[in-house]
Parts: sequence; structure tokens; C-alpha cells
Amino acid sequence: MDTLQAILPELVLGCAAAFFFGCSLFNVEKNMHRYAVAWAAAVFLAAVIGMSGQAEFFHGAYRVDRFSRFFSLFITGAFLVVMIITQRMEDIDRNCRADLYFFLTVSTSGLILVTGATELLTLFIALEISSYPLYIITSYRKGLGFQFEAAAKYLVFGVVSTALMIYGISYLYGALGSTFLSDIVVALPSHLYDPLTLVGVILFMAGLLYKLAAFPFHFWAPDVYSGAAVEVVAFAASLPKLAAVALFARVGGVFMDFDVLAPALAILAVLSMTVGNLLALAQTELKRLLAYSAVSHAGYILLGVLAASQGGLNSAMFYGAVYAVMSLAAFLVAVQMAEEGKNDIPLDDLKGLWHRAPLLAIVFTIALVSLAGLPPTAGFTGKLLLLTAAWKAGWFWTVVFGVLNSLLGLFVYLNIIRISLVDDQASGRPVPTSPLLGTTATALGLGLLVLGVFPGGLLTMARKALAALLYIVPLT
Amino acid sequence: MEPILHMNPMGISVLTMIIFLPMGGALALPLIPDDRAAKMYSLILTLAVLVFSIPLYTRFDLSLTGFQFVEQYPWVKSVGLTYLLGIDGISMPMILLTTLFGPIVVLCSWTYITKRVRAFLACLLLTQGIMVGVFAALDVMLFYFFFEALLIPMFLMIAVWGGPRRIYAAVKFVLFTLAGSIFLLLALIGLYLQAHTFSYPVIMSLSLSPQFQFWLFLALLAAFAVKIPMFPVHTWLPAAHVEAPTAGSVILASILLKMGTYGLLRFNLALAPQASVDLAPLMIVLSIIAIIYGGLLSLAQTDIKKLIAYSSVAHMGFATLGIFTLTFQGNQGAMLQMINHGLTTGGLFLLAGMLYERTHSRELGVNAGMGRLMPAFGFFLGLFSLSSLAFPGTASFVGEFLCLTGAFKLDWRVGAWAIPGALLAAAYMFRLFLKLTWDAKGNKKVARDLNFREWICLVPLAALIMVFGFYPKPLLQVMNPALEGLLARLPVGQGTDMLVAVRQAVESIVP
Repeated sequence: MDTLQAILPELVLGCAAAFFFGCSLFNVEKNMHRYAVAWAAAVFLAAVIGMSGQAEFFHGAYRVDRFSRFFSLFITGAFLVVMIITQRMEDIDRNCRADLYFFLTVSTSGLILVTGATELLTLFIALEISSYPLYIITSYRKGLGFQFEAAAKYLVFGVVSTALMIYGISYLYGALGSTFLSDIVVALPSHLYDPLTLVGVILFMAGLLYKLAAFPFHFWAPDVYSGAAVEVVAFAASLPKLAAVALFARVGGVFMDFDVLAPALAILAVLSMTVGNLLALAQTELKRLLAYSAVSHAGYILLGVLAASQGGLNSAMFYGAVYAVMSLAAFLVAVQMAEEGKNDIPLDDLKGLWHRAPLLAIVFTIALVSLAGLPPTAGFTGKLLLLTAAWKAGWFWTVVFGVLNSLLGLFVYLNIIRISLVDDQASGRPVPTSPLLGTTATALGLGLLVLGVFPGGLLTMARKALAALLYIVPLT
Repeated sequence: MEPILHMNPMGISVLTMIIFLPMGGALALPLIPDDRAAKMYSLILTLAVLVFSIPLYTRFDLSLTGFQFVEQYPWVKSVGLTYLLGIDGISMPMILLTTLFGPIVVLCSWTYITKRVRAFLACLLLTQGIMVGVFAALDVMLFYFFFEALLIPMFLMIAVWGGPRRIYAAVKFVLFTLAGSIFLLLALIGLYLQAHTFSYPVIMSLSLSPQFQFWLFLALLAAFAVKIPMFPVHTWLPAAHVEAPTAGSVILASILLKMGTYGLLRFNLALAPQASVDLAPLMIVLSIIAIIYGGLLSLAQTDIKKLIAYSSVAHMGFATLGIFTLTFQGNQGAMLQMINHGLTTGGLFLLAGMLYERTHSRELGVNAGMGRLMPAFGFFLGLFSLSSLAFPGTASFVGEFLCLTGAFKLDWRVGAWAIPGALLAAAYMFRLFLKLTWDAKGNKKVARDLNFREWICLVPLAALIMVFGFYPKPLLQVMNPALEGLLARLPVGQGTDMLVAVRQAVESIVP
């Protein structure tokens, strides 16, 4: 019974996937959004119930523990929010919606599997389960044709990074004789200067960086973001980031013993932040801008991985969760602003948001201030923790770049705040806001403020989750 | 030795209340149905805050050193954050200045603001609470929270309700400020790594190495110099002042600028005493440049608000000069200058706003001779102008005199360089005053004199300026213990050569 309770979220997700598959088979079109929200709520509830679950499956290849459940909670929470904001979905054919929900559910379950995988091949399969549905639904947009280009790019980049990763895994297996993380941890110290292992680790890390969309593996992000429907982007921008943080925390910590890896990551982190912010400055379209902003935030998360020994992972997990909340809050508004048949959301479309939907304007502002990293929002607190950890670990120069980048970031987001709050023209259509959306928006906005001022609870959760990592504590 | 924390003598948490009452009140504004009620509500709220803040003065124990009215609660233990508030003789006058201006800025926006009134009032109330928080915070990260949280409401205040070039001014303001305060963030993280807590009393008890102090001083200076604003980072100020609505200008001039000098006293002097001594010559040079350059620029302006803005640069230059003479008189003078500049320049901006509401222009030429039509206006303008140029008998005289005393005590040449600044002040303020009051060439024929609401705004400021001009003791006796404590931290044997100090610090960094 305990085992059943432990994998409850996975089971409910499976049921949800089966349900949507059935809907797709029998062409159910009515009430799809309600079903989706209901199922997502059930999944989230299951994740809450299964919070304290502990179990091992497949000879220790898949593990349910506090660590994976920490991420399940946030991934399913984000899943619920995404389902709520798919209310309108003007850009997606009615008869495709069941399929879309099916793929989103499958991808979510893949992400949850990622956070629990403790064996490299299991990890690989879980990553594929989470990625393939996204390749498909990227092309689900009506009209135009740019969505196919985006999907193709996503697919090609994804497949190449997957190939790199599996190639790396084969090297690791060849050098260390096992694909279980628990064995790797033991075997690694004696292979620190073994070129074969190093090649394996670097290739593997390349795959992870792709998932995180960090420089120089970010090239897919802007095109996918602007090509796909906003609702899909909201999903692709938030949930996989959480899984990527989990991956970095679980395996990144193991590999950080390599001398060359840390400086390389430091350089990539700084480049990610800077390139992301600089390119975001030049954008005039909201989705592309958010894509580049995601690149720069990936850089901040890498700082935490860099400072793994000094509580950096803890901060990275905090920031990952916070990033999911702020990007969802931003996308929630973006979804409302998206107009049917238009390929993108020019920043000018946000004009007069204050007059058109004051609540959304306020939530949007909080999200942007948080993305810019100003107090009292969670974005600031997360950055503070990451920078402190990085400095403690001796990476002072990355900290300097970190704060300089928050200046660049402010420039980026201040511009959007100006357009949405300051500009007076009450042009454009009024923005519809259902009570459910309004509540969700309020919850996300408040969440950012509360996490900013009282980060203690989430930090304790993250610390407890980290303590459960395989290479530190064996399951009792 | 950690400074002593004296717990709150009152039954209620006064500081918390005057910080969060206006901020919480701002959240309730959307519920109020119409604009007029919202204005009344904001006025009552800010008046209540003012009343609540009075015990900070009346119950302030002059015999105690250290911090009073302390409120301490655990905040985020694992990160080293505490919710720690407290005041001493340096921060208490600043808080009272802030709460005094609360109702005044609401009143001066009564008819000035016509669009999105409730949102504007929400911004006002938010800034009100946040600014008190800046002065009351004794946890350095809490300080930073407040320091930075001010940016967005101020940005909106300028950007939404400002003049024609408001976007430019608002963006410039925010970017300049943040460009400075990212270094403050670095400094605070650096301090945290030394102290393992953000608590100011603990950090104060650290003995930091001279090298660390050197960099700490520069990082802190970057943040505070922008706020003050010191030469050469003052360029945001005229733009922001000119474009901001009256309330915004008043808040900027009277309170926001003081955060810079307050930061210098609270952080630079207290935490980096060695570096303060070493770098004092640099600061004195920058201050004198600000005094003279600000004065000259002010003399050349034809826009009333710009003229007052540049005069602020010069006046704040006197304050920084006073601080970095590192003499007792100089620091007393600086504190008085901060308060008096707040009262005086706040008053001048109020007058500029009232004039603008009548003539829709801030040009000296357009507004020439308005004093003939509006005698009461002329009277207040005369009083505030005289105070601004530090005429004996007005409050600013005492402050500026003490600053100069400190300068002469340090070195007569320093004092001699600052004297032309005082003369310039007379020149530009008299130019403003004469032109607006007696010049005949104005093109406006009729204008309503000050109404009751405007009188209410100006009278308290005018009264305080007169009182403090003749009797500054209430202020001095409050700040003296705190300033003595601050200066006692400075190493003896002042007057190290700056170049030597810089070289030492650089050598210690470069192996």
C-alpha cells in the first residue's frame, strides 16, 4: 500500500493520459478544458498525498524519495496552471485538443520520471518520454506554417542532444562499468583523470544544458517559443526547466569533482546570462523575449550548480521552482493577449493593459519585476541565494557578472512594464478574464511576493529534498 | 563591541506600524469607490502615520546610546535574515521628516493629479511606508529590500503622471539607481560572508581588514552617490525632478536624496572607518565640485524645477562635505543640512507645483512677476528662498555654517573652496525669487492666490524652518550621541594620503 501511495502521482498521470487518449479516439470535443483541469487537479492532489512517499522500482533504477517528490509537487502544480490557462486555445483546432492534452500529460509524466531516475538509461528513456510529445505539439498551431519549422528545429536539436547524451552514457558505461548513479559515485573518484570518463561526462552534460536551454545550446528556444502556440510554450518554458534543475542537482553534483568542468560551467553560466539578456533587449515580440530571458535565467541556475558544495544546489532548486512560477505568471498574461491567427505577440499589443485588465497588469508587473530580480519578489531572493552561494564557493567574478546582468535584465523588463502600465492608449480589445484565471493569476502573483519575503519554507523543503539524494542517504 | 539594542518602550510596535500601515492601506485603495473618497482616505491614513510617529521623538531617550524602539523577530534563520528595526539619533529625524511629508504630498496632489487617481495614491502610500522602512531597518538585507522596493513605485510615479519626457526621465532614474545599488548588493553579500548574518549590529562589531574596507567603501559609495546625487552621477536628478509630478519631486528632494547621505553615515562611516579616513580627500573634492558645479548650473537654468534640482546637488554637496570633514561639527552640519534641505527644497517644489497648476509652465520668464498677483505665494517663496541660500535666521544657515566650520577646522583651504558655493546659492536663489516676485514682464494678468489647502501644505514647513533657524537644539541633542558614537569608530591619526591608500589597496589585491 505504501508503494502504491508512493507512485500515486505517476499512476494518476497514467490514467489521465489514458483518458485523453480515449477522448482522442472517440473524438470527444465538449468540455475538454474542464476534464483537463479536473485531471490536472487530481494529479496535483496525488502529488500532495504522495509527498512523503518512499519506494524503489526496477532494482533501484527508479526511485521515489523526498527529492523526486519535491519536484513532482512543483511539476504537477505547474501542470495544473498550464491546464487552467489552456482555456481559450484559439490557435489550436478543436478536434486536436484531446490529442494536445494527451501529449501534455505524457510529457509531464516523462518529466516526473526524470526526477526519480537514478540510472542513466532510465533517465534517458524518461527524457525521451518528456521530449517527444513536445516535438509533436509544437506543430499543432493553426495556419501559417512557421510552426512546422519550429517543430523541425526542436526535433533536430533535440535529437542531436539526445544522441550526444546517449553517446556520453556509453562512454561512462565503458569507463565505469555501470549506469547506476550509486555505482558511478563510488567509481568516479578513481577516474577523475581518465580522458574517456571526462568525454563521457562532458557529452552527458551537453545533453543537460540543452534541456536547460543554456548557452550555447539555446538556439532552438527562440524559434520554438515563437513558432508554437502560446499555451504550448507556457508548458515548454516552465516544466522542463524544473526537471533540468532536478537533473543537475542529482547528477551535476556527482560530476562536479572534475577540475575542468567547473570553470567551463562558470563560463557558460556567465555567457548564458549575458547573451540571453542582450538578445532579449533587442526583441520586439513577447514570446521571443521570454525565450531569451529563459536563456539568461538558465545561466543563474548554473551558478547554483557551480556552487554545489556551498548550498548552491539548494538555491538552484529554489530558483528553479520560482522561475516556474514567474514564467507561468508571465505566460498566463501572454496567453490572454494572444490573438487568434496572429503568429506572435508584439510588445505593442500589451499597450494599455492597465486599462484593459488591471488584475492581469498587476500580476504581469509582479512577474516581470521578479524576472528582473528586484525585491521584494521571489526572483530577487533566489538570485541573492545563488549569488551568495557562488561567492562562497569562490566564484566571485561570476557574481560580478550576475549583478551586472540584473542591470541588463531590468532594462529588458522595465520596457515591458512601461508598455503595459504606462502607455495610455486604451487600444486593442478588452482582455477576457474568467474567475478561474483571475484566481490563478492572483495566486501566482501573491506566491511570488510571499516566496520573496518568506523563502524559509521552500528552502527547508529543498534542503530536506536534497538530503534524500541517493549518493548521500540510502533508503531505509 | 556590539551596539546596544534597547527594546521598544511602547506597548505597540510603532516602527512596524508606521511602515506597514500605509503599505497595507495602499492595498485597500481599489476597494474605495470614488477618487475623492480615496484622497480623503489617503490623507487620513498619512495623518494617522504622522501622529503615530510622534512618540518616536517624545519617547526618545537621549541618555541612551545604541538603538531604541528596537523590534526583533526571526525572519529567515537559515539565510541569516532577521526582522530587525530600530532607530537612533541619525535615523529618527529622517523618519519624522518622511512622515511629515506624508500628508503634504497627498494634499499637493489633490487637484494636480487628474488621471488614475487611486493608482497614484497607492504609489504614494507605498513609497511612504517603504521610505520609513529604509531608515528604520537594522538588518542590512531588510534595508536593501526597502531601498530597492522603492524603485518601481517611483518609476511609475514619474512615468505615468509625469511631464512630456517622463519615460526618459523615469528610465534614467531607475537605471542610474540600480546601476549603483547592484554594488550595494555585492557589498552586502560580502559583509554576509564575513559575518554570517545580515544583522547590522553584528556586522558593526566586525573588524574588517583595510583592504576589504576599501572595496566595501567604494561599493557602498557607488550606491549612495547616485542617490545623493554626487557629481558626476547627478545627471538623473534634473530630468527626474522636472518630469515628476509635484508629489514625486517633493519625495525625491526631501526624502529620497537623504537616503544617500544616510547610507554614507550608517554604512560607509560606521562599517569602513579606515577607508572613510583614507578616502575622505576624494569625497571632499567631489563634494566641492558638486557645490560649485551645481551652483553654476543652477544659475544658468530658466526652468524653475531644474533650477531647484541643481541647487539640490549643491546643497547635498555641503552635506557630504560636512560628513567627510570627519569632524563633529561637520557631521552635525550635515545632519542639519539633510533635514533643512528636506524642508526647504520640499517647500520650493511645492511652490513650483502650485505655480504650474496656475500657469501651466515652469519657465521663469512666463511666471515672472507672479508674486505681485499672489502675495502669500511671494511670502512663502521669499522664506524658502532665503532658507535655501542659508540666510541667517533660517534653518539652513545653522547647517551650512556648521558644515563650513567643520571644513575650516579640517583645513582652511577646504573651507575657502566651499565659500563660493554659498555665494552662488545667494545668486541663483535671489534670481529665482526676484524674477518670480517683482519682475514686471510676466504675461499673466490674474492668478488666484494660495487657497486653504495650499496654506496647510506650506505652513508646517515654514514654521519648522523658522524654529530650527533660531533653535536647532531639539535636533542637535537628538543626533549628538549617535554622531559621537559614529566618529569614535574612526581610527585616530587622520589625514592619510589618498594615493597611498589606493596604492596599498591595489597592491593587496594584485599579488
